[in-house]
Amino acid sequence: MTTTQAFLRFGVLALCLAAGGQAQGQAQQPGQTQTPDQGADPTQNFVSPLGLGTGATLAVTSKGTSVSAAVERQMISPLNFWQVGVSGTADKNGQVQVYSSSDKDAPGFKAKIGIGHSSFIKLRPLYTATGGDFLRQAWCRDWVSVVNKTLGPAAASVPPNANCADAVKKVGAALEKSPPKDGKTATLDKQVISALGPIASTVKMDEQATACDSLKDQAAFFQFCPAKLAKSVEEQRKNYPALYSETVLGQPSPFQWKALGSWAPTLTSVDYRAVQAGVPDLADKHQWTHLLNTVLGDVALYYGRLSFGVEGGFGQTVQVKTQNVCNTTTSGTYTAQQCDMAMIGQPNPKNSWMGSTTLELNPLPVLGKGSLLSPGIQAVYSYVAPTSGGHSSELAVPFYLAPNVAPMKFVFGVQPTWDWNTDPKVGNKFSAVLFVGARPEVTK
Amino acid sequence: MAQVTVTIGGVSHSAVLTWNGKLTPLTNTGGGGFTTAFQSPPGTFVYSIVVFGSPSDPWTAKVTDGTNTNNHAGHMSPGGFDTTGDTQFQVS
Repeated sequence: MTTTQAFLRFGVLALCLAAGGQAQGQAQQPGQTQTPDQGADPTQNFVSPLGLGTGATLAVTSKGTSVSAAVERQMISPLNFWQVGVSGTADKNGQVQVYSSSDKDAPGFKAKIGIGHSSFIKLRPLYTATGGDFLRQAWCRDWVSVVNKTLGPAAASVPPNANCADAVKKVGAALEKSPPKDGKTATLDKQVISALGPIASTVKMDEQATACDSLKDQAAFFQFCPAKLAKSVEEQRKNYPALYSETVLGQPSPFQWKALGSWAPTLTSVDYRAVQAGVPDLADKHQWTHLLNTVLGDVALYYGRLSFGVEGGFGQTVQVKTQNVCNTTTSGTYTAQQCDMAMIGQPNPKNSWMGSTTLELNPLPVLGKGSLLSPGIQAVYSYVAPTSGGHSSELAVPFYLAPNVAPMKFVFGVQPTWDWNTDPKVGNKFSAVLFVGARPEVTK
Repeated sequence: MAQVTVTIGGVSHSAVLTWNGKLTPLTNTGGGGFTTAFQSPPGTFVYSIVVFGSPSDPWTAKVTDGTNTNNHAGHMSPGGFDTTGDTQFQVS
């Protein structure tokens, strides 16, 4: 990864505006002694721990810093890809104390190890073979067009769907009849038509390479050779749509899908104070470290500009409500406090059902074709329901703009997010986040 | 033997490399990038790359053995796919 790529892939979540509902921060209240501070959203959610997709991402939020990295590798088997990813989050103080229903903000060290099947990964010999034929036919048509332009008013009329042989025949006849007045141009035109004549019916790769080699010094013709920069099949389709329709077969379906089964372990650690017989022992510090296990299933569907991902899972979640526990020292009229964030009572993991769906429309058809920016929008809904009751829900709608030249590497946008939590009742929350970074992906 | 490196960029959904008629696994490195590297004996080989992404997204591909290089570029079709077509490559 280059420095530029690394920079662009570092998502910087810059602005978090809390509005409505209860405050979710953990502002310390130094005036209190051994009393609870405002707790954070206590439900940790494991859905879509790698929602930003493969690659490495650093996100700096008002709640702390998270780092995620993932890689996906194809395989030649019925299960044709695997994915491994890790993510970790710490709060501003480097402590594990911020819990959110948005799992990107949740603390702890997470991993996701999965294997699945992708309909993308398969041989498409008809499409690539006829696509190659089409590109060589289009290359021939490009050369013939250059020759035809030199003929001025005597230029031949070549039908849009004409193949190489027909075009060479028509332009060759026009050249024979009315060659350009400039001798050098006429000679070069004849050389081109002579080179194309014998190979025009079925231009083979070797024949194209030989023809291109013979005109290496002629920029007007060599610019169309694949050695310079090979245009893709769908790119050349814009120039020769009728020829494409007649030549190219076996195009992939616009509908594709991926399915992935994953194990998502999460290592979570939090300070707590034990409670014995209903009385908290605030003096003795304890640390609770636990590996929480979750199994997940992901399905992603793709159709043109629409992508839809759904993820469901069952596993352990933990509800943590941290408090500000302070040791107060008094000397005369002076007091000093030393405070820690800790949970009162040992955390108790619960089994939970969880689900997440993402719908993406990219590009969003609101800006014209000549626009420099390409917009996109997602709707992401996640839901966690502990078996003990209650639920935590979140709806996020990121809207983003990307420059047309590199829409994958860099986007900027705004993401309004709504949260609902019923157990424990911590209220609803609305936040809006400005983000810069790589284009978000649907659930994988 | 020479090391052939294939690097693909700008692909949001997936990319598929066929080298000499066989599927060759790619690694998704994130941000629309796919890559692979493998050893190949000298000779002439035919490969193709099929890419999938959002319609009209630009994409690029580079195939090189350090001596010879093929560069490809295009934009995704309205259906969200594109290909280099079968292409010849000389491994030196």
